[in-house]
Amino acid sequence: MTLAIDNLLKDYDPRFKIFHELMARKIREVLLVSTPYDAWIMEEDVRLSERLIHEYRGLNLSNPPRLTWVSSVEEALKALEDKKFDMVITMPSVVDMDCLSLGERVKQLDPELPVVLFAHSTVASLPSYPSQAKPPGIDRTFVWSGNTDILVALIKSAEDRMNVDYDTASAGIRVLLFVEDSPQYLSSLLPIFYRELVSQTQAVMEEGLNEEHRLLTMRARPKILIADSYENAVSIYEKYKPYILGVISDVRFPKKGKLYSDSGIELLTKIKADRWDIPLLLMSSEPSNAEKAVLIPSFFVDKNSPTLHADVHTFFMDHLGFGDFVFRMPDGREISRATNLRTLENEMNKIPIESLMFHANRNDFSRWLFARTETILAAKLRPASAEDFAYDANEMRKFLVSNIHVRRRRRQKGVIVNFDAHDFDPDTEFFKIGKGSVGGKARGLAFASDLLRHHSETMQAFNNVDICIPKSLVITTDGFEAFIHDNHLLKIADIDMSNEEIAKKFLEAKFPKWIRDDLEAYLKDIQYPIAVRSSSLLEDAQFRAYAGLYRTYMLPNDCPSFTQRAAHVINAIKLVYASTYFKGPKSFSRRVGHRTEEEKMAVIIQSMVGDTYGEHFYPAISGVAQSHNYYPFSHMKPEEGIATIALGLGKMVVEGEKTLRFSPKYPQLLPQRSTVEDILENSQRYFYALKMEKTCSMLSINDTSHLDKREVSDAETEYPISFLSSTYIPNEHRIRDTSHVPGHRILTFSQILKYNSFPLAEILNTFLSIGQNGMGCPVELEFSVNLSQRQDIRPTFALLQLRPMTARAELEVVNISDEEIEKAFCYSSNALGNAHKKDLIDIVYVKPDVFDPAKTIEIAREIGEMNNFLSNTDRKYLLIGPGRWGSADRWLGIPVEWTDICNVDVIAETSSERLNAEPSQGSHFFHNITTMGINYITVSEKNGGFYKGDWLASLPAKKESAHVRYVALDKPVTIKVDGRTSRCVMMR
Amino acid sequence: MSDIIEIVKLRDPNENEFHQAVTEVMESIKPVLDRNPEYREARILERLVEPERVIIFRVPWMDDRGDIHVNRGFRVEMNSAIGPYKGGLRFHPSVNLGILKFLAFEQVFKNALTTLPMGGGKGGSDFDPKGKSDNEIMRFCQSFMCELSRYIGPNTDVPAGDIGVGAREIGYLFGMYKKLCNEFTGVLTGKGLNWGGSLIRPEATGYGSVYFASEMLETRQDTLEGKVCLVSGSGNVAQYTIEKIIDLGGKAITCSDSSGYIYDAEGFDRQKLSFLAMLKNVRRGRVKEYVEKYPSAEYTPVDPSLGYNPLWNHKAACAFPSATQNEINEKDAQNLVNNGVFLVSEGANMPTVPEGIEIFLENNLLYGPGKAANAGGVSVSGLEMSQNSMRLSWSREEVDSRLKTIMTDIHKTCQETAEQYGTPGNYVNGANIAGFVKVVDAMLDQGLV
Repeated sequence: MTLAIDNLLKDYDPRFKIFHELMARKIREVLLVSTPYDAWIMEEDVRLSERLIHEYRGLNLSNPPRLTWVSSVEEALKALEDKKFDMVITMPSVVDMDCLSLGERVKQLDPELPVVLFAHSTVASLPSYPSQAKPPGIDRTFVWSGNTDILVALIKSAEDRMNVDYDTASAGIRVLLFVEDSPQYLSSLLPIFYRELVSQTQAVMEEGLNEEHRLLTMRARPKILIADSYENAVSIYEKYKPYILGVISDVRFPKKGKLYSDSGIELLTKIKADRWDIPLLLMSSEPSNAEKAVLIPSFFVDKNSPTLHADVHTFFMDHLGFGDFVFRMPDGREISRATNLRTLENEMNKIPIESLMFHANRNDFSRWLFARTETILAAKLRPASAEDFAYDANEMRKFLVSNIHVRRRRRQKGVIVNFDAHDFDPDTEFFKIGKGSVGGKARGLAFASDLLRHHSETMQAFNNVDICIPKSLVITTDGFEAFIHDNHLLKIADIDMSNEEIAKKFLEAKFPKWIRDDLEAYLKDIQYPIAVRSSSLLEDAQFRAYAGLYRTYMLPNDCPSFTQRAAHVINAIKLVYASTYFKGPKSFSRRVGHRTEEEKMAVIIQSMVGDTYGEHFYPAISGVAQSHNYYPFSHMKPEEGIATIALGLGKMVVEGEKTLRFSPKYPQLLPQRSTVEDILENSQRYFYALKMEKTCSMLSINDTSHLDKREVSDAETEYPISFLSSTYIPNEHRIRDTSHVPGHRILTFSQILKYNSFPLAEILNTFLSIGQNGMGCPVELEFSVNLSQRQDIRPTFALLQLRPMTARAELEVVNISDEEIEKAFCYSSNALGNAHKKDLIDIVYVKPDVFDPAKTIEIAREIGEMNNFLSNTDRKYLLIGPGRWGSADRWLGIPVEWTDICNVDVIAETSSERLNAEPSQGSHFFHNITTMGINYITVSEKNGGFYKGDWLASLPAKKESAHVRYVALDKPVTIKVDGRTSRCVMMR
Repeated sequence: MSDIIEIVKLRDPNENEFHQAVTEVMESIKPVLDRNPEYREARILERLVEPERVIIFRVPWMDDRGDIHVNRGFRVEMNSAIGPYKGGLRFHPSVNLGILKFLAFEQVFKNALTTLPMGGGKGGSDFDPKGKSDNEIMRFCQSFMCELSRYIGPNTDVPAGDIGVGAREIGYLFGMYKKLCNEFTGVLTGKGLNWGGSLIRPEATGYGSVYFASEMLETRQDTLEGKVCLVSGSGNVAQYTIEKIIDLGGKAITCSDSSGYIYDAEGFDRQKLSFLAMLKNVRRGRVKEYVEKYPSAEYTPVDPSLGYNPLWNHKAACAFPSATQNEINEKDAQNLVNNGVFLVSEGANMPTVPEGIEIFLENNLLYGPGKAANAGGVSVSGLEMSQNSMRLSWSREEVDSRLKTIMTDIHKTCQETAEQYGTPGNYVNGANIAGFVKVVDAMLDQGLV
């Protein structure tokens, strides 16, 4: 077959972008010319302006036009000179000229300006003109019966005509051809059609759209073009043939300048012969024409029928595709129905092939989709014929189903859908239960999802990767409020209780039934592992560093009993609720001046990304990426960002265990992995996985019983490990980037970082860039990657969180002023990390006067002793000394091991005339520095840095050895490190 | 002799490291000079401290971003009196001429001691491999070899790896040499096993130090059979030391890492050793975890406040320091003596502080200094050259057996030399003097060249 699903995957969702361009020309200013009496009637009696606004609002249409009244031609012409009008509506009688002459005068001024005549109730009120000829200055005549519907209809009709060429050509917008020559019927039927069209378009609009998208979607509704003669109708039909959705025709109307009694039948017969699949509606005031309609065949409606509205409604629903999709067998027997895309997809999979082919051959699917403004999908499906699939009906079914599926998935991106237990699509990406706030974390996720949709063109570069937000359900903050209120738990905000006691109280409390019911409906069919995560109001907000304070629980969700599964989830939610009042968040709130009782918690229930390997479930990679790198190495630039990844669940990354840090800009530049020894030392040994043992034990507060800390070497036959590992060959003391040779497996991620087998670095670069642009500040994102051994399953990149970097305390913005530099005792423009420390009082420094490069080994030993002394009393300290700290070469610096300085908080590397060493930039302890948030300050005089430590010598030493002194200050030093500029000041 | 040191300082005042090395060697060979006036006559010392040839060259290379860098390449061909120059290449930002001269100078005597025909040299570059991609490393190595290839060859100068130059770099260097010279010869050692490398490389140092110990015991008509041994460290040297101790019937009861040490009174057997090897080589865990598997063993964390390492404070007969420099201080040395240890064979480089060595010598211990006892590693490089010359690949057993022979020869040389110079049983003197004498005698034989 020639139409591949992959081609569709490459498509981005440009609907809203295209919709923006639709209906570009609007009627905004309307000049109404009437006698003062008519004006008075319109204004005072029917309150036209008000009702017009009302009408627009009622139909959810965008800006209503503004009406300007004038009562004379003179005034009208002046008004037209003074201001730009989009339409002129004239009543038959005006003070100083008849309406036809007015029309002509207007057309002389602007031939394109539509002029509509509003006749009073009957044609008789019109000035005389040749019976079948259109008055030259009037574009269309309507009959005013006091119903404001007509005003909306005629404006819409004028707009449709103005925009039809562009909109059909650019977006394939459908056209409904309406042939009617009688102003009376036109005036009564057109409002009915528009009302039906608008309300049906809205009725079938996808759920979860926001207001803006709804309005935009309305622009893609079918247009109604009016013809008042046979020739006019044929010309419109020919011009817009590919876009014709249906034809509604009167029976009697002019042809070749004469009124013919069967023109409508002739027209519809001709169209039927040309395009058999176009739905036709014949309307007549003579019921006998119904028989003729059958012969065409066409649907028939009696214009004088007391059920006219209902009949029109039926035509729209059953024939134009606005109703349910009714699956039928070729003999007409109904076999099932679809109400939305999801059920259409489901049913398509089930119905007999004969039925599928029957509808496909009649273009029923595309028509139904066009009615739902799914123009791109509809256009894609329409040309697909049995021939394209070599008459293999099942291939065709696969094609149709896959295309609908992909489209359905895509259109859910970026939208939070209200959960409806009775009718929900389990494939929806983002649901919410409740009417409150979704909380900071969910907001970040929803925003990320929206970004994904907006940047779908950019994402095309990764068409072999399934980039997604995991399926999520948010219980909004009103759930939390109800829970707290119903169980009288608010008082806990002010009581000093242990976390365990709080958790116990929350677990015992009653869960609101309205959440439970919805939640159970949602969970019913879910058997994959889920994470229950906090999403509080304050969490992840800019300038509020609540990130990571609340709890997340991971559930295998594999207990055979649904009741127990649901109970586990509810327990986890209660525990997340409880964490709002735990000691950590409480004390943080106190510190930043928030009241704990103001905090509200939403909860995200999110599908976990990964695969099951034996009795374990885990993703191939979890990681965090930041768009600003506070520890740039070599030619990395801070603004190029940094990522930290690990195998398995993200707990490993969060806990600062052995992970791999790399710049997505330079994925091969790995300061931690330069030599075989480095790689062996720094590669990940353990990873976290979820246990899938079908056990049904309940969660408790600190429960990690579902998690297993596994050794990488115990799982080396599992795909992610064999794929991401290299092999250490002891005999050659080398590491080969394959896991297919004998030797020890070492997790290096080489396949990804060196050989780009999965474009992780590029994806991260893209996300960091669009995330930062979207949020307007440096961002941090959490992600998981699932890799499958099967060729037919695309790897998944799931974005788990997007938040401003400032949402974390260690990433707060630090500013350094010139005054501070002036009064500092140490300044550097080459500092790693980001910090504002005000509590360091312990300083260990190498005595500059006795420093001897030949004695560095002794100095290292002395520092180890000082460190030991300080760590026994758990005191963090500032370490100052010359040369490359931790250098293996004793001539370049002090060769301390990490254990010699393990309690250090800030390290300063000063220069010495006696050492001929390039600054190390902390490279020897890079892993410890980055994971423990230690600041490494390189003081280089070449770069304007200075260190004036003479004052330290005058202080009494707490401990002193041959080369090293330890002093404890009375008043702490202030150390500021601005990670954005890599500058640091230390002040007394 | 102090004149020599002064001359060296005067000539190259900035080469601190080299000054120190020359000073140390001069002190250790003082008895030789006293006894051999012909050395003075032939100005042997002056000739020894001046490299036969120093090559300094430009190494331009392009990084992955297309930026051009220029590093400095060196090869110090120090002495070829007893064979082609042999010594590592070091890629590290600290590399400068002074450091390389210092290393090359030491290498001359280390190589001579192996009894194999290897001269001494050292080379490298101030290139920093840290954070470089494979392709950058390859481009650098190729550029480096473009120039170096003019000066090396299987019969001239055979570089090996060192800091920053591992199997990967040796591969790139060899590839370029082969292309430039159109010959597949043993011009480098440390090659891949399937293209000219030798077996037993990881094992060599550990095995060698045990072979050396056996030879020392042999002088007292004793063997390792049934001897309780203390081993420090848990890397390659320690693991293969333990393995060979087990092979020879001894009982190793300790091992350690930077966090603490294990004491297993029952001793390591092959199964326990295999667990330890997995733990350290594959899982890269701490020795502490050994106790989780074998609860009868005891784990003691490092406690710097003690002022000594309790690992050396157990009843034993032999000690094999195989961890790191300066791991046996004066107190540890005394503890060893007090606990009945009568043999120390150093697998690590300079693990005993000078005061400790004094204690060993004073107490008449069989003390095999690292210079001699851990020469197994260097020797296997020599054996790789031999295999390349013969176009043969020896089996593990063959290499192991030759390693044993070499260690026996080293021991014999040290022992005999010590005796000749009036300090019987003093392997420190023996090792210092034997290498020196072998080189300078060869120089004398070859005339003033």
